[in-house]
Amino acid sequence: MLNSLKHIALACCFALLVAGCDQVSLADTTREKISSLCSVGQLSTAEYTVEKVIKASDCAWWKVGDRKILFSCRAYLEGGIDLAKYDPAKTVVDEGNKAITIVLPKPELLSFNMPADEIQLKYTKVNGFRMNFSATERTDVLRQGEADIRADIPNIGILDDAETNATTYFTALFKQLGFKEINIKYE
Amino acid sequence: MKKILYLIIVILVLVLGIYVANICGFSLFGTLFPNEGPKIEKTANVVTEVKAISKFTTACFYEELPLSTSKTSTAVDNSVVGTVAGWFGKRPKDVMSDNLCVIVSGKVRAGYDLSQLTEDHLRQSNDTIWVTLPPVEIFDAVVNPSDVDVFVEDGTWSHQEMTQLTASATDQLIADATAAGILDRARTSGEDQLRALFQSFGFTTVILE
Repeated sequence: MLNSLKHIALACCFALLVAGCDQVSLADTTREKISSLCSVGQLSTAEYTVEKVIKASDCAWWKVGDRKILFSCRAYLEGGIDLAKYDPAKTVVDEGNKAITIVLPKPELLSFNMPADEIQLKYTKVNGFRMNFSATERTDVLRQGEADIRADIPNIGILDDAETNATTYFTALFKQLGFKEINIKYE
Repeated sequence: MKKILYLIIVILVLVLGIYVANICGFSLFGTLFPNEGPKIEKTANVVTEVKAISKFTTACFYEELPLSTSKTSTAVDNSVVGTVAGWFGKRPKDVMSDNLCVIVSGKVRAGYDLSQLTEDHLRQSNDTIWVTLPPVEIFDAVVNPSDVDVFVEDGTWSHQEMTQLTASATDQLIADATAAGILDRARTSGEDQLRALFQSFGFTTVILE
């Protein structure tokens, strides 16, 4: 009985050792990629450059000392028309009078780009009793900054500008094509 | 007296343990010691430049890209482990290293810059229009902070090291997008869409050059 128990214990130890050695390396993990290529039809008509200071602090009543971090970043926003939503059936052309009425989809944010190389760490302050900011925490802070810019999009006027610029662009195009009466609507 | 002292020490060790566990990221007694990460404060979003553009994006390439890097653990460099490893002809890196693995979900956009279209690029005769298109181009590779997921983080990694790793993703994304044929897709997709667009303006024959 005692021998059997010893054998079982030894087998468990061996199994644990083998399981411990079966570790997938980071190099193996990084070999797999998932990708897809697709067609889109987005006409960007306005580009805004937005600069922001992202400041975050981490303190609580039960934590000894605080931590502060400050970044400056730049984001490039593009607004315009998603032509995949354009319905040709709603376009009315009057050849005789050289008139055209076109209904375009409402402008939307088509691209948001906050490049990593334009994010600068300006300042950190970490109390001696606290740990430094990890890469995960810094990424989380930047993610919050990105979300804050995205939330402000309706207020910064890019969509209005995108609509104005799209109207200007299509008006110039239709004039070039010989139309005299041009009516552009958005819905 | 000894028992009381023993009890005080046990309580102190327990409290210290809970405190250290919370600092290290283990949320014990979540409501009492909420383990929330750093929170940003409200700051202004300042628009520094406004541009009128005419970029027609006709193809997008999406990729989930795992990236990793490693370095000799700074804690081991001059340690006993590092020295002993050196005696056996092994570099400390083989013994212990800091690892960083991030998963980046990026996007590459390609299409036509229609601001290059001038009067000379459009010709028409009755129901037929000739359009000379500019060459298709890759506009950008987009990797935002929300597209970056830190999967493994061992050791200390500076902001600069993290930026280098993330920025390298954009080069990789553009190379992969090119290899996947983004430019060909952008060309065919763009031609199809522009043909349909001009046909909706009343042209029966659209010739793209």
